[in-house]
Parts: sequence; structure tokens; C-alpha cells
Amino acid sequence: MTQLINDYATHQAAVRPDAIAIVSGNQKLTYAELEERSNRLANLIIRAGCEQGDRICLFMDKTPAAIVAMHGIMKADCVYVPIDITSPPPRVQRIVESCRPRLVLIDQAGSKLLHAVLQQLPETQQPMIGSMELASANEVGSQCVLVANDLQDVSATAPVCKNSPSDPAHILFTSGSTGIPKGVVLSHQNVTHFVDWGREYFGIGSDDKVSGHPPLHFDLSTFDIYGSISAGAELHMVPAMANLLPNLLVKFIRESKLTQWFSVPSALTMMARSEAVTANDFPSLRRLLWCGEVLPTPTLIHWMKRLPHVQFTNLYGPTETTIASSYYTVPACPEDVQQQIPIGQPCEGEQLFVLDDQLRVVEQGEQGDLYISGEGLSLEYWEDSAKSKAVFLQPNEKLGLPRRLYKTGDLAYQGKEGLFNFLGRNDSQIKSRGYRIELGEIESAMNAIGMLKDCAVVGVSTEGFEGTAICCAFVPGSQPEVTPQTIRSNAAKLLPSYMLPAHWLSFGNLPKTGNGKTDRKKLRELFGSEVTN
Amino acid sequence: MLTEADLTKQIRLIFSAQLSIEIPDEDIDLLDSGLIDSLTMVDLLAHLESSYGFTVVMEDLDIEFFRSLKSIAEYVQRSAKNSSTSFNMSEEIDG
Repeated sequence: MTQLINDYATHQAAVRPDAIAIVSGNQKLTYAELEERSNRLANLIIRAGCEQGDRICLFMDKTPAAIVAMHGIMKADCVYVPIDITSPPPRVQRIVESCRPRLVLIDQAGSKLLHAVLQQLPETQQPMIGSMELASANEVGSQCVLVANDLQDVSATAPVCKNSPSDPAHILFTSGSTGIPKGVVLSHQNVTHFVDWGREYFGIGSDDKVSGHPPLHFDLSTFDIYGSISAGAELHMVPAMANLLPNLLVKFIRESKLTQWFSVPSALTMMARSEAVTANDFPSLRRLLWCGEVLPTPTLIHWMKRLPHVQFTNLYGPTETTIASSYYTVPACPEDVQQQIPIGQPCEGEQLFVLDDQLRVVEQGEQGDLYISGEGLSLEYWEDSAKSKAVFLQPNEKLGLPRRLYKTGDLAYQGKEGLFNFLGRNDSQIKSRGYRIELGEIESAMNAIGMLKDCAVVGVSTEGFEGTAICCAFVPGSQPEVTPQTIRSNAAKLLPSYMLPAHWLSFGNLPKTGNGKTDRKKLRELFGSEVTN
Repeated sequence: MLTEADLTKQIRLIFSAQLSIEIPDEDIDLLDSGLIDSLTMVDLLAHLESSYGFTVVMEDLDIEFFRSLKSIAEYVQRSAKNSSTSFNMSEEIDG
């Protein structure tokens, strides 16, 4: 019986050892190889001195070796923390300082970033370094405590697991409004519960070829990877460069003969815009899933018209409630481009509530705050009881609500048929290309570069593929020559590229409301005309 | 007629003026350095189309076309030659 996430691979390795588990370019990994390598790695991790509950950061590309690493870490009873290796060093440093890893595992793609981060860390906080490749091991030199490319002298028998299903499996760091990313702690059973439901609902089987598109620090990737492995299917890693050009993504789906495509809406919109998908394209494709933000209905119509043989499902849910909490399979191609696609009904074991500010259930059809409870509810934010308390609520028993509730910050209403509908955010979090971004994190970086007297960052929604455009209104400081280009280049040292503003306006003073606060509504209007042009 | 060096300069200006991206060095690898991501790619293509009067044929696009300013310039020259619009962009692009 599956109790831990790593049991999926163990089970498949016993049932179909020679079947392909992961395909990435020319590399292929069978289930037997995944099992054997991750067992050996787990033994090495334990030998290096890691103990149950220790955090291990992954400074790696999304490769078969990274999947081996994730399994090895879990089999050693440790907790993996995937790092966005395209993020600038200061941001990654804050994550490393926060989770205090005992060990970091690297490949060549991540070794440069690791160096930059370690230089800033005091001696006492230096983690051990393990390398998944010989090349990156050579770069690290004597600091390297383990090299996982040659594991022949290590036992291939899995160590005995001490973990129970409620123990943490991984921590996913997401944007924090004060500029410090917050870590969502997810347990084995948080993940297996969704994966088991999803595999059943979507009917994923061993003949499936599943896309592996989102990066590892994105919680959607959890379903790609473990959904596929739990079914004994083939996981096809989408090459990173294919993201830059929609025709390459289309070619990838076609040539890999994928049966399942799962991505953020921006990728679907980008492919639709390029007109690269032809009528009845991808004959092997069975289902297309999206999550992370609203898919514009015109994009959905574009896809559904071309691919009548495919099932289209919208998944909804924040990282804090594990992958997704509700689903909606679109019954027929929408006739009206204005038609809103619901976020649907709760997945099995999950509950959605639309509540008022007293935590009372609002009338059907009425707008309120969306709360989620159920099996996917994360344990907490990593070592941040204040933030955890603010959103993981324990409502008064008299209210008749579950013992624990997560406040999503989303606004919603429940329609007549019982389906939930998303209405937007009630705070300054936005979604851009599937990334969840706190505008406050961008503002604190803008203030930190020391070039601006004042600034405000607002999100302006577009019909385009970026979802919400990030716009920065600024008042230049005393330095001459403050231009959007110079601000952007400096901010790029602190923020990942998906957080960099795309639109800029310079002001003598930012517009204020009657009570002296920055008039963000006015700013959104000012940017609105520029963004839609 | 523009030389390739002029064209490279203009494209650098498109990055800075239209996309607010400073290219630190003319020979930099735009892909490995992460200066081009999926969002800037879409904007870049739109600006190349409007500045040089050709239509991007998505199917023909290869990632290597965007490796450097020079390779983008070569791509623009090829595309403009193949399109019906004559290629005589001599004015400076608004910056």
C-alpha cells in the first residue's frame, strides 16, 4: 500500500522494472533505474550524516537526476526544498537561511548559483554539498561530501523508512509580501491524497505519456511527476528552451506523442496565439489540464475547436492546499467568449467555503472570501507561526466549520449548480504567467536598490498571455539618469525575471488618495491604456 | 541599406527603449544569460515585426535565432528580404 510519496516508484519498479519512467531529451530512465539510484543515493545521504526531517536543497535543473534526488531524499527521511535556479542569489540566500539545509544537492546548472549564495553565508550555516554529476563535483572540489554519478559501492537496498504519512516531504517557497519568501510545508499524505484522486479521476495508466512542464519549485510539477510515476506512465520533461517559442512546445507535444498536457494558462495562450496548433492536431492527446490562473475563454475556445477529441479540465488551488482543491471539466466548447469558466467542485476529500468576514457562510451567488479545508491542507509555513496563524485558521466550533481552514485570499461565489467561481484577489497578490507574486515583494526590492524616492507596483490585467502585467510607477531619487532600464537592471539582481515590471511610468509625486495613501486605482487606470495598446 | 552592425545597434536599442532591458555587452548570450524569457520573447517579436515590417512565421522560428544580437539581426535581414515590404529601415528607432 502506498503511504509515502516514494512508495509509488518502489511499487512500479517491482511491477514494471523495464518500463520507461522519465524521458528528457536523449536521456531515458527506467523504473528499476529510478528505484536503484534513489536507494543508493538515500544510503549516501544517511552516510553523510543527514537525519530524519533534515532539509536538503536542490540546486538543479528539472532533469531525471533531479527526480532521482527527490526520491533519494525522501527515502532518507529528509525533506527536499527545490530552489528556483533562475532566481538571483540574494533571494535564494534568504530561502537557504530560512530552511537551514544540512545538505544541498547540485548539478552543473545550479553550481554557480550555489557558490554565490554560500559566499554570503556565515561559516556556521554552511551546508554540506553533494553533487549529482561528476562535472559539478569537480567544480565544488574538496567541499563535496558525496558524488552521486557513481554509486556502485553503495548498497542498492532502500534504507528502512522512519517517516510516517503525516511527516513533511517537501517545502515549496513562494513569494512573500514583505520581500521574504515563505515556505509551504507539505506532507507525504497531502501529496498522495491528491495524486491518488487525480490518477483515478483522469484515468492515468501505464500507457500514458505525461508532460513535465512547470519547474520543480512550482507545486503543479508535483502532480506531473508523482501522477505519472504512480501510474507507471512515462514522464516527458519539456526542454526549458521550448518555453521561449510556442512552436517548439507544439512540436514537442506532437513528436513526444503526449497523452496528457498540464501547464499554466500562459503557455496555452502563447501556443494559441502562434496559430501553431492545427485542426485535430495531437491525435494521441487525451486530456489537457491547466492550473495556476484563469485561462482566458477565447484561448479555451481556440483549443477546444481544434482538439475535439481532448478532455479539458481546469484545476484550482493554492500551494498551501496542495496542487489543486477543485476541478471543472468543461462539458462543451463555450459559445460566448465572455463566458466564465468555473473553478468547479471540490476534489475528493477537500471542502471549499465562501464566507463573510465573520466566517459565516454567505448566500448562494453572493461574493465572499474563499476558504479551503481538507486532506490537502499544508502543515504550516516553515518556522513562521505569525504568518501561519494569519491564514491557517481554527474557527470557533459554534460556526460548524472544519477544525482547520485556509484563507486563500481569493474572492469567489458559489453558483446555482453548486460550482464555485473565482472573482479575483482581495489583496495585492497577482498571478503572472502562472507565477504567484506578492506585489509587496517587488516593492521592497525596488526600495532596496536605492535609486528611487518613491515607488508603487500595481498589477493590470490583460487579455494577453502574461495574465496580469506588472507595472511600476516611480519617483526618481537624486541620482541623475534614473531610467526604467537602469532600475530594471538593478532590480534583476534581486528579483527573478518573472517579477520584473514590464511597464514603467515616472512621476514627480505619486498620485495620492484623500487620506494620503498611494492611489493604486488611479495608477492601474493610467497603466491600463498603455498595457492594452 | 543598413549594415548588419547598424542593425545590431538598432536591435540593442529596441531592447533598451521598448523592453527596458539593458544589454551589457553586444556579444552576450541572450538565452543563457536569461535576458530573454518567454514574456520578453513575445514582446520582442512584436517589436521586430512593427519596426521592420515583416510578419513572423512561427513555424520557422528556431531558438538559435535569438542567441545573440547578431543572430537576431541576421534573422531580421532574412525575414525582411522574404517579405513583400522592402527593407530600407534607415531612420533611427524612437528611443
